[in-house]
Amino acid sequence: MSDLSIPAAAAVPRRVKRRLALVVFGVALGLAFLCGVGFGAVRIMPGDMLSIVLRSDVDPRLEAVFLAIRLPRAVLALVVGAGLGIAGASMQGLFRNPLADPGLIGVSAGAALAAVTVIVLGGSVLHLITPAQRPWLLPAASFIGGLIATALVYRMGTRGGTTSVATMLLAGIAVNALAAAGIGFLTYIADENQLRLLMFWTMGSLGAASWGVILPALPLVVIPALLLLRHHRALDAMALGEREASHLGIEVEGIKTRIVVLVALCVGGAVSVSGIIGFVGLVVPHLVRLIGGPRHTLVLPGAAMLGGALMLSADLVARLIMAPAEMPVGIVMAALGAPVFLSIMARRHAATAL
Amino acid sequence: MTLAVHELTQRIGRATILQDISIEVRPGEMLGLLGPNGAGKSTLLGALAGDFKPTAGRASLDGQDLARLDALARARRRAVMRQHGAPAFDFTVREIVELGRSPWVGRSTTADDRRAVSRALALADVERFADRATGTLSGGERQRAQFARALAQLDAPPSQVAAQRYLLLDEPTSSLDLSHQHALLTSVRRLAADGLGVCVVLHDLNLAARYCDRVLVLRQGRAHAMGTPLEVLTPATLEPVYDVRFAALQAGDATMLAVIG
Repeated sequence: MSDLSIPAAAAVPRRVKRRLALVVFGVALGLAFLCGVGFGAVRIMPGDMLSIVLRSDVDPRLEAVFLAIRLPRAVLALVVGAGLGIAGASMQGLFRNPLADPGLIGVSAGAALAAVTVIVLGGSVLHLITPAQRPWLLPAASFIGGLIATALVYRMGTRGGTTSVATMLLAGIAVNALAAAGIGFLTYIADENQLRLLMFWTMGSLGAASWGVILPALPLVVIPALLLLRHHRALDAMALGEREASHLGIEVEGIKTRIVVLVALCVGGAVSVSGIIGFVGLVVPHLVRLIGGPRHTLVLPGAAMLGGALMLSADLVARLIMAPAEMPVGIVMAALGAPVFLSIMARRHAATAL
Repeated sequence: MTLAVHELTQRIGRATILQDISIEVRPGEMLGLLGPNGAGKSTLLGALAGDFKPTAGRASLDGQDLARLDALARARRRAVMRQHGAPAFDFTVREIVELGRSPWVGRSTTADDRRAVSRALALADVERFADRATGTLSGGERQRAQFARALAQLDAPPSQVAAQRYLLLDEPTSSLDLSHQHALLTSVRRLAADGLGVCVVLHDLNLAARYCDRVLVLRQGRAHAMGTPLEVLTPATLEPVYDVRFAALQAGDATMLAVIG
């Protein structure tokens, strides 16, 4: 390629672009959060929010809607979106493949199989637990199911202290297929009410958001996500190849294990309270790289911020578009995100073409 | 003070890749590794880099067992440039070179890093396209970017310069045009003159003759010949290794090897 082909965008150094991108993502996230807590059947303006936070005189109904309904839901959307975004970015870095997805290590499939099992067969164990424990059954089962599936994939990819990401990828495909078979069977034997439930679970929803359900799940997502942020240098080095990363001083085997564990916890925690929400983990890291380049100092926090913003926006649309009914957020996410992604890709193509 | 392997044997599965090899890379010299495909050159370079545990024998850095040093300690003492695929994502050349600074995080200042990166970019002659994505570059330009990364890694911050450092190169000139082949090896030669220990896998015997102080010829995992290029790079030594016939041609004060059948 000749020098004539240097895209105009290359004139802005990547370091500047990275900083700009983080500012833009931060503003987008802030706006999305305000809209998420503000809009709905009752509109709450930023001024009202300030009054509620400052405990000054405010309509108690407004306060109740804000604190008990809107805020937990927005926090859940933010955390789930951020967690899936950062987990996706980490997976793509680890697998050195921009098409990798948090689901590759089996965590979503395992969680889905466990959740569907509880929905279809759970009736028979319900008498074993107290009514107070019932709301926990589904999230707990799906979280544990996700971890078991990941452990299986990881075990199959590891031999003699060395983890092969290529073997892990194949094992992930097999575990996904196995889980799909199990889900298919359970779907087949499910009754109509169970069918509705499991259908909605696999399409993802943030409707379960109450402080009681989400508070225990939040640290499961937030802590691994924060720990993943610290691996930006290792993931950068791994992009050159595992051997190259080790030549640059990265303890590759330990890092691989740690990233798989953190991603499994992060995604498992998110899926357990929101069901399966695709697209975020796959596409958000792409968007970030298209905007500011592939350095993980940007991609990890950027994917968290943009994932959170996108999830908040998708949930807003899901709540408003058919109000008072609610669309599954997973559907909105795909319908909203895919065109954005395609347009950015098309524009970038135009910029780099001769 | 050397980077050395001692009576090294390396098996991978049931195949013996290297058999009973002893060599040392000395500060200030360029050691060339020669031999046909599959002779074990890259494996030997990997053993010197500390990439795997020797099946038998040992690899050591200034007397310390390489296997005992962690990845970071090794990374601060030696840089490796391998034959290369493209990076997984579309980094710019500058970003690739900046990655060479990662062993020095916490030990060097931002100013040190920036200086080291621009020195490396200049030395590898990649400044002109430093801010272009590697995906838009030719194979040779990409190879020079990787060379720059290795140079940036060896550019120790002021507090660390005392330690002896090594550079391991696996066919660094394979994609380069003629003038950049010589430019790269001349830069390496100059770094060696400043005290760097260099081990380089080469296929071009005449480049080896011109730039290396000593060469090791490998044949089916064994040391076939070892010595100065003048001693080793002769038709009599090389013909059984490469299975071709050579003629030694006199050109000025240089002796060139040409394949004649």
